[in-house]
Amino acid sequence: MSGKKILKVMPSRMTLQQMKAKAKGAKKGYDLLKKKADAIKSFLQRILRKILAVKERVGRLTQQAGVLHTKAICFAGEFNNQVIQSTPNEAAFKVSAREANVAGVKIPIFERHGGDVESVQLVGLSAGGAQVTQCRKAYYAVLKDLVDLASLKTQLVTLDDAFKVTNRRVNALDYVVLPRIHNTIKYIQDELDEMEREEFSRLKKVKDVLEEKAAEADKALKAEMLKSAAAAGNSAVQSAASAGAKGDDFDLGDIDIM
Amino acid sequence: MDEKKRPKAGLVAVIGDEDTVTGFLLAGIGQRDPRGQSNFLVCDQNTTRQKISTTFREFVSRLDISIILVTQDIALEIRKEIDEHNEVIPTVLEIPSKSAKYDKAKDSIVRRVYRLLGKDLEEEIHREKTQTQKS
Repeated sequence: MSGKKILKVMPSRMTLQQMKAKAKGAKKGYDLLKKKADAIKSFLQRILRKILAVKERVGRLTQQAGVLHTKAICFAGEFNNQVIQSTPNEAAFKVSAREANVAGVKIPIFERHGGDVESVQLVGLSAGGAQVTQCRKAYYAVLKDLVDLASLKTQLVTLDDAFKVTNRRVNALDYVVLPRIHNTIKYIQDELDEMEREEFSRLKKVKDVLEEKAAEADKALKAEMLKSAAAAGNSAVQSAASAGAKGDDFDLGDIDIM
Repeated sequence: MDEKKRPKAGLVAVIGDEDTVTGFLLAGIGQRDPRGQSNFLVCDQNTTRQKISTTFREFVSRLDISIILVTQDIALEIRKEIDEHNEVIPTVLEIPSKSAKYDKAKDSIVRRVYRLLGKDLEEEIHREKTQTQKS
């Protein structure tokens, strides 16, 4: 990253205030986003563990279901084809997606559409019916878990993306926006100090010039008085004026104004 | 992805061997409309990768399918298509099958989970193997 990047502003007290307000806002935004990122992260951890647990269970249940399937075939004969052929026009088991809000992120959740109902309509599998029913029940259990797994997976993907985005914004604030604002504040303050110093020295210069002018005006005035006093022949004034010409301190009030 | 056009209730599709597909059909996910379009594909050793890939893509593009179940051995064949599929819906799940024993290492979801957790998958599997050997 290159060095001091600042915002383009005219250094003045007003902009300084504006920048300070900006810094405050940015810091607040940063804190909020960081909280959000942390919340998402902890949720993510929970989901990850859940996924692993459900996956294990699915593995076991599927194995059991497979065994029951084999059993059922033993009893009822090869019914695979029959089942496949008698597929209905519309599936009995459907899922619907509900939207839930987690840490400010909208995530979809899958649910069995129409509630948890084990509807049974099989065609012509009379022999070994009990085994087939057991087999079906086993697969239904697997299916329910798979729907949960699908929900968890979508939550995982959605939250993962949301976390990446939020984290990016947090980093952007932390490494780009806030430093930039702080540099700008520093720049404005430096400029203001500089301007104050210039102002100070400028005023001092003006003061010096004014003092010089005042001293000159003083001198001129005294010279004038000396001249008029010489013309009038007033020795007192002459001595006072000459003292003044020498530069001694004397009070104009000392002279009697005739 | 036009979420608004999706029907309220979506289907569960399945791509796998005959036994697996039959099992899930028994549970009620199967559907075949009058035109012959169905939400499942039975695969055997003669099924070409092309057919699997095409069917998978078709299921993904169908708006009425929300979940796609793929047995792990078939998932390995179309790993590329599955990895390319980045959308939230439809969700793709890998399931074990009778023939293919469930292999944790090859499950894409499990791998992602481990990566996010920061744990080492190989290490975990090795540990499990030695545990079962001991017992």
